Amino acid sequence: MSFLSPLWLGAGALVGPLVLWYLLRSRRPRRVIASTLLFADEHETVSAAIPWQPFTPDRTFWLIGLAVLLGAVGLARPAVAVPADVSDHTIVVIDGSASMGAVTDDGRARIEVARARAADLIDRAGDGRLVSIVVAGTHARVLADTLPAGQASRALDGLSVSGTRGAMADALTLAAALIRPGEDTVMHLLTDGGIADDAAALAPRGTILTLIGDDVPNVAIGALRATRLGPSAARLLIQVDSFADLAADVRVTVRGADGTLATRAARVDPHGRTDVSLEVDGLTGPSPVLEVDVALDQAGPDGAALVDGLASDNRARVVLPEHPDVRVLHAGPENLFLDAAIGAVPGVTVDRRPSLPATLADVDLVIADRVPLPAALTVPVLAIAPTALPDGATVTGRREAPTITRIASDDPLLADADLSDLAVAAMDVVDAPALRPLVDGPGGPLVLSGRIGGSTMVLLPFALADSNLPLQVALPVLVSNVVQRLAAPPADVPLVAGADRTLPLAEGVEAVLTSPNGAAVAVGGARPSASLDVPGVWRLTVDGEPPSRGPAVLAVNPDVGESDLDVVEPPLAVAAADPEEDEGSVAPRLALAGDTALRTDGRVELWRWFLLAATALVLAELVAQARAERGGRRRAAAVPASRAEVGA
Amino acid sequence: MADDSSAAPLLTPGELEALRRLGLRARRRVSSGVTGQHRARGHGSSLDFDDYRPYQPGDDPRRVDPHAHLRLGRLLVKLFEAEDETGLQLVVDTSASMAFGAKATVACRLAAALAVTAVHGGDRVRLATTGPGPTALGPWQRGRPAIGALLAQLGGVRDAMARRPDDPVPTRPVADPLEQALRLCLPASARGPVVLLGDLLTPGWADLVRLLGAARAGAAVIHVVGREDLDPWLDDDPRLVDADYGTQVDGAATPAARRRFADRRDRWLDDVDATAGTAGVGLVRIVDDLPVEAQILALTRSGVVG
Repeated sequence: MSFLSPLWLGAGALVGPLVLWYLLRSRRPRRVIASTLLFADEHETVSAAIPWQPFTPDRTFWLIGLAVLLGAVGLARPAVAVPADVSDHTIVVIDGSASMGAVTDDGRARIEVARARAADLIDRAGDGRLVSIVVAGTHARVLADTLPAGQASRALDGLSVSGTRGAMADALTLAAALIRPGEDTVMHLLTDGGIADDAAALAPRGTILTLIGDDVPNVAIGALRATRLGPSAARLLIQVDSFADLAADVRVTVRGADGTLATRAARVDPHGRTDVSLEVDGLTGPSPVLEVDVALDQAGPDGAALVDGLASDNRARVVLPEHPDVRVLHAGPENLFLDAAIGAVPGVTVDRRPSLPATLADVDLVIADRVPLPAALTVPVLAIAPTALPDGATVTGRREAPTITRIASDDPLLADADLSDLAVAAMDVVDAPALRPLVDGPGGPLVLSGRIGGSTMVLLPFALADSNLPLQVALPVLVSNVVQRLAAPPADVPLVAGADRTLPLAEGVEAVLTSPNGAAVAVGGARPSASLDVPGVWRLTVDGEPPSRGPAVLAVNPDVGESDLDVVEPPLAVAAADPEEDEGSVAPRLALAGDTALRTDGRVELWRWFLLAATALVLAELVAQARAERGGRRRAAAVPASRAEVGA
Repeated sequence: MADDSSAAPLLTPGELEALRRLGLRARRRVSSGVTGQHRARGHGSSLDFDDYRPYQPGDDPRRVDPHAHLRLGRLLVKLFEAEDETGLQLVVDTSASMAFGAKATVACRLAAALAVTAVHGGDRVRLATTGPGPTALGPWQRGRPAIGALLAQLGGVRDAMARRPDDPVPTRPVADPLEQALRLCLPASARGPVVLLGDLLTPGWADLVRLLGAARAGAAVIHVVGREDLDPWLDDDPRLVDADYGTQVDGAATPAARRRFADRRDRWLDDVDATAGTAGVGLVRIVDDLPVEAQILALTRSGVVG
């Protein structure tokens, strides 16, 4: 606590005279006489005061003395330093990510709570101060750039939630750039948490973080894949994620252009996920769009116990490939296991040949088993113990019983393929710098993948007969993954909403990308990309027509990273509770650590409380005096009763 | 505060015997309606001739003066002065100020002396009392049994005043009980004198004296003052507290303060004398340290006894 006018503390010295008066005041002995009638109008000054009386403070001394001290402290204007809510320049950074659309306990969306909080800050700033508002949506946007409070308040009308992650790092950088040297500036960050360390490091020191919302359950579609089973049928693999503390009963619904195609009930463990496989039929059109909804099943055993906190991640879309069958050229000697694995992949047309032809036309994928590979690859290849390798890859030796020390299980090619029990009797040691090892060991890689020449290749440098792979489930899974990854059109995998997403558009093609909202933007160039800020169905057109190569319809789904609605405090936060927060759904403020220090000299003056206390003490003394006087009168009223004895 | 003579009788047997030589005197004609020894208004059956008047049918023929008939030839009836019994009303100041010094004892003793004198003369006496409720008058008492009763009652008054509380608290002056007692006595003041015994140390003392002057058969004030009241000895700067009202005054022991007090005291005494004289009220001032015999002898100056 500090004093803004410390000289007034000297007023506390008034207690000194009070004490002195108690020491020096005359102590007149009380003497009852018959009557003071003959002493009326006696005003002689006391001439025989006895100095230096023993200090015997009474109630009046304590009350008045304390009132004097409190009054002196109050006049000195005591103040305590607090983080300044507003200052000459108040910068408000608002999280506009998809998770800010979640509901709070009072039914409002988090973004509405943030809007109300920002409006409150703007109101407290007043018209005489400047306010800046930055929104961390798909991109960082400046809603109000150093505007008077009144104008900044109107800018809040443009605040909305994006369907993507928030560009918090960009927003904080942008907000820090708005700080003007020498100006008292306070920065507020209104978010529902989940700020990465690198983003938090961009916040200036003294940034006041207000966490919006609270932990609420949520279910979402984590992933969606579709495989065409025929001209009008498809199989959907739907991953349902739960972010609830209780098991959730959900109902998955698949809709097409003609309405609902299938529904399935499922149960998701607390904070778990479940895969739902659905086959739908009756599809029409070359590239039908399938839309999947997941909703809490209120009819389930535990359905009524949960509330879905975020609705935007309950819907996902997928576009079926236009060409349903992958044309696979299987070259090599008979291999029962490999044939079975290839045949198990749906949507595949296999051309079986003993060796590779000279030209590879009308082939989407080559599976070369123990045959020589051409020097230059023109189509994707799954090579198994090739007798000759293309340029860029050479056999440097032979290895018996190699051991496996690393498996890149996170690689999509090895998704769901368990190769931990793979045992190989002998293999070639391949040196291919352009290929990355998926399964590696001291003796050399056992599975390689990458782009070599003009096409992609997956290489197994051992014969299936020299390993136990044919006897494992991993073989058909690996073959399926290779077919899907290397030969299937990329439109099979829905895109994730976000900024700067790569588009499946041929290089050099200039196209127009139309959002679900109807907004069109030109895309193209050497690296076609766009900001897909709205989940839904996006469409690509070239000169008004669908592109000749690649998909014309793009399914953009919500970012599953926004589905976890837990409000997480930043790791660098230092707690600084704000007693003024009255919203139960608003977490206490936190002070972020950053590279830049803000000038936050806010303080709360306490002089009113001290003067109020001093006044209360004086009033208490007056009341006590009045009560004592009333008590004296009651006693006095009893005096005439003594005269009763006279009349006895 | 009070003297320690509360246990002693108010009057000794010798003093009671001496009081037989005194008698109650009415300064004005009384009118009690009961035959007594004091001149009364109108005509009665005493031996003192007063006047003649023409005979009226119904007059007692024995009152016809035969000598006047022979001399004047008319029937004239002799009229004699009326003699009624006197009723003495005693009002004793029982305020807290009377408890200082020997004022209470002196006042009660003198009241007893007046009462005994009246009873010995065949007159009636009643004692005015005050109380928390309406101020009341005691019953008229006469005859020898009344002597013991009155002495006991006045002794009780004296003892009660010795038990006064000594921590008075400030209070607003209320209606003076003495004034109330006097107002109760005044309707019967035609029967005999009204005597107030007190120190008059009250702001309304002048009103009391003037009120007493309204008594139709005479009145007197036995002004009992304490030596300490007249010459208080202050050796410091005390806070003086009024025993009756609790009012506080800061006293001083300076010579100037003493001079001012003496001036106020003398002026007050003079005012009391003047007011009593103006109101036609007999006044006897008795200091509480006066010998008992002198106190009783001083009563004769009041005009009530003689």
